[in-house]
Amino acid sequence: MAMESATLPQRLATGMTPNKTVGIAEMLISTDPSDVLVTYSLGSCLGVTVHDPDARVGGIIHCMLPLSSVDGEKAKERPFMFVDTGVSIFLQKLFEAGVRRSSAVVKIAGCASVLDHQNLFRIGERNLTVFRKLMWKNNIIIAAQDVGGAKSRTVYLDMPTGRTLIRSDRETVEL
Amino acid sequence: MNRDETIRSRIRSFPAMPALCKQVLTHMNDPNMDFKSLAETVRYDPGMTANILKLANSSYFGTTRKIESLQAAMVRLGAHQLFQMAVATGVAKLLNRRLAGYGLESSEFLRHSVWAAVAAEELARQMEGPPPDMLFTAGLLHDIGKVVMDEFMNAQSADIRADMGNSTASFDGIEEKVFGLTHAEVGAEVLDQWNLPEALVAAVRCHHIPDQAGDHSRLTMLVHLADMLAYSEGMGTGLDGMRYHVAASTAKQMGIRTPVIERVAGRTLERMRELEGLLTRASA
Repeated sequence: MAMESATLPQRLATGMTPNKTVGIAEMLISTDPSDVLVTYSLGSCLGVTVHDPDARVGGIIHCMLPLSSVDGEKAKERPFMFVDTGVSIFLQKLFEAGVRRSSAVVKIAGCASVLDHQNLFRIGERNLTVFRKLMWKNNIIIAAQDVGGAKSRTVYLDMPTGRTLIRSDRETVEL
Repeated sequence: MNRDETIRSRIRSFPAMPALCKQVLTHMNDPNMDFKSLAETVRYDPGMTANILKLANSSYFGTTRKIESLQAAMVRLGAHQLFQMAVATGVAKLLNRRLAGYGLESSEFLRHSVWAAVAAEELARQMEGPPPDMLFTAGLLHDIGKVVMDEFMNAQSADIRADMGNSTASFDGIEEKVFGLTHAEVGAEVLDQWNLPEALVAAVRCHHIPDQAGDHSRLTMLVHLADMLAYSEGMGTGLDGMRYHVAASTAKQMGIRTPVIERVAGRTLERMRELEGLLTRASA
């Protein structure tokens, strides 16, 4: 996948102490302006941070797989496992919490892949495609992204400032 | 001593296989040995007894009826399952450790190992035919060589990082270049020293080059795919990131497609959580 960061991220140290963790196949919405959210180790998974500076509401979702149709039973138990079901509910909950399309800042990370010429493990690429379609349908712009490649990323959302930071191996960048 | 000799000496001084695993293994090779005498041996180890009962009653390995005695647990589960559990509880301590050289916290290395073991079983379940013997154990132990290699990796991490930046080579390729051998080969040496079955040794040795596993290609291919899935899901990605090649023949040889891989990923997540918790406690 030739889709490394669309915006050129700026290097910096995290210096953040997260107080809330979003697990794999989970989401979290925060209305506490002192929170620092984190989701660890996105491989091919998709991580989305949303922050609305006006509403002072933000959130992270960590989706594993693109489409719920691959396992209907799982989708009922764990809708946030999938981009299609998970992101839809995530957006709905964000809107209910006061987020508006016009002021929401949406950033994404992850969608990486092991080195695979057979495209057997193209889960990351598929996650990204499904997400982009959803954003298109919802008329939401993706403000920044750090996706693809063969690296795993950890994502922080700093509620006080609305900044999204990405850590991979020992490097941290702001998105 | 040069580095190669030092690595070899570290393999030789690696902890012995847990005693119970050895006994269960002997039992598996000698069908005349009875469970009662095996249970007698285990009974002297209260920690292991408790762990085996806990595992036997977990929904992961468990049957529907509650098992209260050790002997009942053994009979119900059979030697094969018991071996898996004995290895799992026996090596949990070895796997639940920080690998600074590979950039992994203790929980991350254990999680990667458990993920691969569970995913290998889930993959086999999605395919025709019975799962190969030793599948779970091969998945669990596939990266045990990293425990030995960690100190060498730590000393060379600057070179390794530079190599990774300057090339697109896979991480095991970089290990080979820097050390003359990979974590997979070192792991196989450890298991060979433990006198574990040849299939297990071959699967660990070839888990990044499954087309070279000879008679054990199906087992090795499943471990390889499970390992790739673990990295895909960000389990135990440290210094190496996701820099591993999916073997070129995999899809064709296993007749597997992306939707199956995805379904396995989803199902593995739930099943591995319980097991990870149990093994983390077993290693305390």
